[in-house]
Amino acid sequence: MKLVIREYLTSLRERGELDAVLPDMLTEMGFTVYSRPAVGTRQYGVDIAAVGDGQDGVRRVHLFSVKSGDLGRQDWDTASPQSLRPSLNEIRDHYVTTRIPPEYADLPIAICLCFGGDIAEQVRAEVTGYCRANTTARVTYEEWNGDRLAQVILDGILREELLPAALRGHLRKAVAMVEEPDIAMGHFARLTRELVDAGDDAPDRLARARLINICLWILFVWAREAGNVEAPYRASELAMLQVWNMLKDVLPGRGVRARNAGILFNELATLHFAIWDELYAKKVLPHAAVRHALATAVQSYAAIDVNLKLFQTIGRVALRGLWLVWEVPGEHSLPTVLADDDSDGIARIDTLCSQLVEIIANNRALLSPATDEQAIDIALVLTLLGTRPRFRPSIDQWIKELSENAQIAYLTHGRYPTTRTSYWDLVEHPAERTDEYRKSTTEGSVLYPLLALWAVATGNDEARDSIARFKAEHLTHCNFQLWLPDEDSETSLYLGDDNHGAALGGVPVGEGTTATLDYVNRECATNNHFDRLSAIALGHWPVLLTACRHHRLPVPPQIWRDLFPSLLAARAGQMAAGNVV
Amino acid sequence: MREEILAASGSGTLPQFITRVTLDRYRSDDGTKSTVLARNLVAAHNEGDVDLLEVAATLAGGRADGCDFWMIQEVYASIIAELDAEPAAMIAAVRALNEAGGSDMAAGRANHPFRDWMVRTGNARAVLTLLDSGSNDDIVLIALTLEAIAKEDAGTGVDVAVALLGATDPAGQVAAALAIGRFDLSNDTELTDRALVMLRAIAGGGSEDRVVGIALGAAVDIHRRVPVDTEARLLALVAAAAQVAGPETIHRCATTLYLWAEGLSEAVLTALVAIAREVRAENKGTVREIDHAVGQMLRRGQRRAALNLLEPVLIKDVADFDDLGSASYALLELDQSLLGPIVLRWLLSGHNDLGDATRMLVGNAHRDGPVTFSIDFGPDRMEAIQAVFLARKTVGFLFVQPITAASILVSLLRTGPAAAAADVAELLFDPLLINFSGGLSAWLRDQVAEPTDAATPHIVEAIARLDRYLDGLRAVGPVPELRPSERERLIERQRQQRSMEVAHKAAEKSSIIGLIATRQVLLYGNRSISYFEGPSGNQQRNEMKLGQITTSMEAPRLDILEPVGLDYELRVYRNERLTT
Repeated sequence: MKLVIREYLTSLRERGELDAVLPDMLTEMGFTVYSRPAVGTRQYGVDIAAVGDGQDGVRRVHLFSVKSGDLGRQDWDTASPQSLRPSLNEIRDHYVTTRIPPEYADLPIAICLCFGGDIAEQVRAEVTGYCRANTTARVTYEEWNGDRLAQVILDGILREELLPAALRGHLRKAVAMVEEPDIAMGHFARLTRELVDAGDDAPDRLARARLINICLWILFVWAREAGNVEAPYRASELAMLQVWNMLKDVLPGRGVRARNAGILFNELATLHFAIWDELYAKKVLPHAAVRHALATAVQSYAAIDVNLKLFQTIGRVALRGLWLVWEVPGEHSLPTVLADDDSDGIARIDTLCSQLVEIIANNRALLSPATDEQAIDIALVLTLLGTRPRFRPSIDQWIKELSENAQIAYLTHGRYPTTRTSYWDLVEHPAERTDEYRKSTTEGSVLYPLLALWAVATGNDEARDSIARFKAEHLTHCNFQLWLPDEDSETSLYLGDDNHGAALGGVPVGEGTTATLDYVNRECATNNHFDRLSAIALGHWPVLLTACRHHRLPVPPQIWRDLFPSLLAARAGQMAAGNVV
Repeated sequence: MREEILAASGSGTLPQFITRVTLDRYRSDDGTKSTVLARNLVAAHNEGDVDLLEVAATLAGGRADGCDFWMIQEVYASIIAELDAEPAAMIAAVRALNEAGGSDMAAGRANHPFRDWMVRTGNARAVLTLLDSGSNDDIVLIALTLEAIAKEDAGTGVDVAVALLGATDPAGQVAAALAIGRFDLSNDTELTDRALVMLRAIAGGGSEDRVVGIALGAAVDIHRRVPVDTEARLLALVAAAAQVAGPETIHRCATTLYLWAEGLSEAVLTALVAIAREVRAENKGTVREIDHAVGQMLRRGQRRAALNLLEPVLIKDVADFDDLGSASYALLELDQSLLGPIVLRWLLSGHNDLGDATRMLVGNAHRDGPVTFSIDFGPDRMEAIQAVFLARKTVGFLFVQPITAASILVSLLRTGPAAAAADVAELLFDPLLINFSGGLSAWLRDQVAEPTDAATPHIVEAIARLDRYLDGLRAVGPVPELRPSERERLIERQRQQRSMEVAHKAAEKSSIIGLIATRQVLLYGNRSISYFEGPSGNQQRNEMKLGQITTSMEAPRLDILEPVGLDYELRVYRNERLTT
C-alpha cells in the first residue's frame, strides 16, 4: 500500500496538487492548520502553516514550502519563482520574524522542505549544508519527502481504524484497473459506499470524507499517469455526491466543523473540476470545432458506441458549465438567464456553450438520440445554453433537429430512441423492424415531453406542433412523462439508491397551445419536495444535476422555474420587436 | 441383333432391351450401335415380327419400369416416320409417348416424326378424321396433321385451317392457329394474305385469350417468313389483340419477343411490347419470359424496345430487378457507351424503382474493378438544375458503389453545365469522399488530368478537403476515455460474430457450390486427402490443398458516426422530385 501512495505522491505534478492534500493530512495527524494555500500566492515562501507535535513530541509551528516531484538542481536554487532555496530564505528572513501569529509566537519553529519525491543526490549536500547553516535554537529544518508523506498518510488518513484491510484492497484494485474504468469504478464505489455507511458520528464522518478525498486523489493521479481518467471522473462525481450526503446536515452550521465540512466539499469539487480539465479541457474540447473528430475518437465500429459517448460527453461538459453558472455572483437560487458582462465567469460559460454548439454541429449523431434517457444529457445542455441569450437560436435549431430525427428514425424503423438501456439491447436496436417491437420499446418517454416543454418555453412553435402531431399520429401508446423528486428522494438521490421520486405522466403536447408548460407548472406549484432537497435548500443546485447525470435520473422540471419565465419574456420581447417570424 | 429383338419382344422386355443397347452406345461412344438398332427395329416391325406401336402404347402412365423412358423415346423418334402402320395405331402410340413424357418440354419429341410419317404415307387426312377438334388433348396432333396436309398442298392446308378457325371449337382454333403459323406460305401472297385476314378476324372477334395469343404468334411467324407487304396486316392484328389481351396473349407476346423478334421492325416491336408490358406480377412465367426477352432484345440491339418493356415492369413493381437475371446480365454486357445513357435515363426518371434497379445493376457487376462511366453531357444538353438533380440521384442510389457514383459526378464536372459544378463538387466531397476515403480517394487521385480539364480543379480541391478532414481526425490522438468498455467491446464482437454466422448460413444455402459439391467439415489442417471409387472400381486418391477466398468492402464512415443523418440524407436524394 505504501508503494501505491509513494507513487501517487511522486506523480503529483503541480504545486497546487500536493499542497491541496497536505492540509488534510496534517489535520488527520492532529495538527491545526492556520494557513492554507491561496491560489497563485505564497506568504513569504510558506504554502501551509500548521501547529502540532513533531516526531519528538515537541509542539512546534510547522512552515511548509511545497514542491512537487523530486527535488533537483533546477528546483533548488535558480531564478524560478518555484525554486526552493529563495523560498526558504524568505521564510527565514520575513515570515519567521513578522508573520507568526501572536498565539504561537513562543513556540519553536520547524521549516519543512516538502516534496512528493526525493532529493536528487547532486543537490543533497547543498540542501544539508543550507539547513545546518541556518539552524538555530528556535528554528530547525525538516525534510518531508515522499517516504515521510506516505507514512503520514498511512498513519493518518488511511489509518487502519478508518480504512480496514478489505477497503484498502478495493483501493489497490481500483488503482490497478484504472485502464478498465468499469472495474476500477466498481471497486471505488464499494470502497466509498462502505465509508458512507460506516456511521453517523459527525467528526468521524469528516475523517471518512477526507479519506474519500485522498483515495480519489490517489486514483486520479494513477489514472492520469496511465492516460485514462475516465474512472476518476466517474469516481469524483460519485465521491462528491456521497460526501454531500455525509455532510449535508453539518454544512449549514456555523462552527469549525461546518467550516471544515465546507472546505472539504470544496476540495472535492475542485478535484472533480481538475479531473474534468484533464479529460475535457485538455483532450476533448480542443477538437470541438473539427468535424467528426470526437465521434472518430470513440474508435468503435458500432454506431451505438459513438452515440452513447457523444451524448455522455455533452452532458458532462454542460454540467461543468452549470457549475460555472452557479459560481456567477448574484441573487439566483436556480439557473437563470445571465446578463452579459465582462467577467471571466461569463466568458468561460460562453466559451463552453460555444464549444457545445460546435460539438453538436460537427458530430451530428448528437441530433439523433438512441436512448430515451439521453434526455438527461440533452436537458443539461439546454439548461446551460438557456442561461445565455446569445445561444437561443442554437437551442431552437437543436430541439427542431432532435425532434425531426427521432421522428424520421421512428417512421423508418431506424435507430429511434428506445426506453431500453441495457447495452445488449442497444447494440442490436432495433432488433426487429416490426410495429410490435417498435411499440414495445417506446411505451414511455421523457425525451419527447422534455423537447416539447422546452419548445413551449422558448416559443419554438414549429417543434412543439411537430411533436404534438407525431404524438397524436404515431405515439398514442407512449406515456409522455417527467420525473419529480418526492419525500423519499433526499435519502436516495445522492447515493443513487433505486426507486424514489414520482413520474408525472400524461404530459400533454398540443398544437398551438402551451398545455405542456401549463401542466408542468400546475404540478410544480403544488409539489414542494423539490425545495426540500438539501442541494436546493442549501443553494447547491448543481449537486442535484450531478446526481441526475450520474445516477441517470431525468432532470426535474422545477430546476427551470426561474429560467423559463426569462426565456418566455425574452421571446415576447423579440416578438414585440418584430424579430420573430 | 434381330434375334435379340425378337427374344426381348417375346419375353415382354423390349423396352429394357432398347435401354440397354442405347446405354451401351453411350458408354462406347459408338453411334453405329444406334443405327443398327433402329434399322433392325424398323425391319422387325415392318415385316410383322414385332409390333412396336403396341409396345409404345404400354409406356403411357409411366409403365416403363426398369428402363429409361427418354432413351426409348429417342429411339422411337428416330424410327416412327419409317414404320408401316394404320393411322389409329400410330395415333395411339404417339399419344402414349406424349403422355409418358408428361409436362416435360421434351415430351413431344415423337411429334415431328409423326408429322413426317403422315407426309410419307399420305395419311394426314385420314388421321384428321380420327382426331377430336373439340378436345384440348388433340390440339398438338391436329396442328401436326394440318402441317402435314399443308406440306402436301399449302392451299388445302390453309383451307382446312381456315375452316377450323372459323368453327367454334377453341381447341380446333388453337390447333389451326398453331399450324398456320408453321405453314410455309412464302411463295404464295394470296394464301399469306388469306391466313393473316383470318387470324386478324380471330384476334379481334371475341375469341378465347389463348386463341388470340396463338393467332398473334402465328401472324408474327408468317410475317417473319414473308416480311414484305405483311406488316400492316400484322400491326392491325396486334392492335386488335391489344384490345382484348389477357395473360395468355401477353405471355405469347413475351415469348415472341424473346424467341422470334429478330428482324422485326421498330413498329412491330413497339406494338408487341405495348401488350407484353401489361404483364401482372402474379404471372411469374410471363415475367420470366419478359426477362429473357429483354435480355435477347438488348443483345440484338433492340435497346429502345427492351427498355420500353423493362421499365414499366420495374415501375409497376411487377418484378424486382434482382429477379431479372437475364436482363441484368445483358445490360452489363453492353458497352459502357451504351450502358451509361441507360443509367442516366433511369436516374433522371425520378422513379425509385428505376433508381433501385440502377443500384442493383451496378452492384451485380462482378468485375475486376468497379463500373465506371465517362459520359459526355455537353454543356447545352442539360440545365444546371437537372445536373444537380442527377448528381443527387446518383449519390442517393449509387452510394454504396462510390466509385461508380463518383465517375458520373466527375463526368458532370467535366462536361456538364458549369453552373452546377459547385453543387456537384460538394456532393463529391460530402457524402462520397467523406464516407469512402480509401478506394474512392485513390481512384479520384488517378482521375486528375491536365489543368484544362474542367473537372481537375474540383477533384484537386475535394482531395485537399479530404486530407484536411483526415488530418483533423488524426489530430485528436488517443482518447481512451471515449472508447467503449471492454465489456461493451465484447458484446459488440459477439453480436458481429452472430450476425456473420447468420449471413454465412444464408450464403451457404444459396451457394451454387452447395448444389454441385458434397459438404465435408475439416477440423484440422489446410489440406484434404480422400479416396473415391473410379469407373473401374479402383480406389483413387485425391489430395487437395485448401485455399482462402476473401473479399473486402469499405464501410461508409458516417454509417457509424451519424447513421440517422446519413440515412435521411440519402432518402431525401432518392425520393426528391424535379418540379417543372
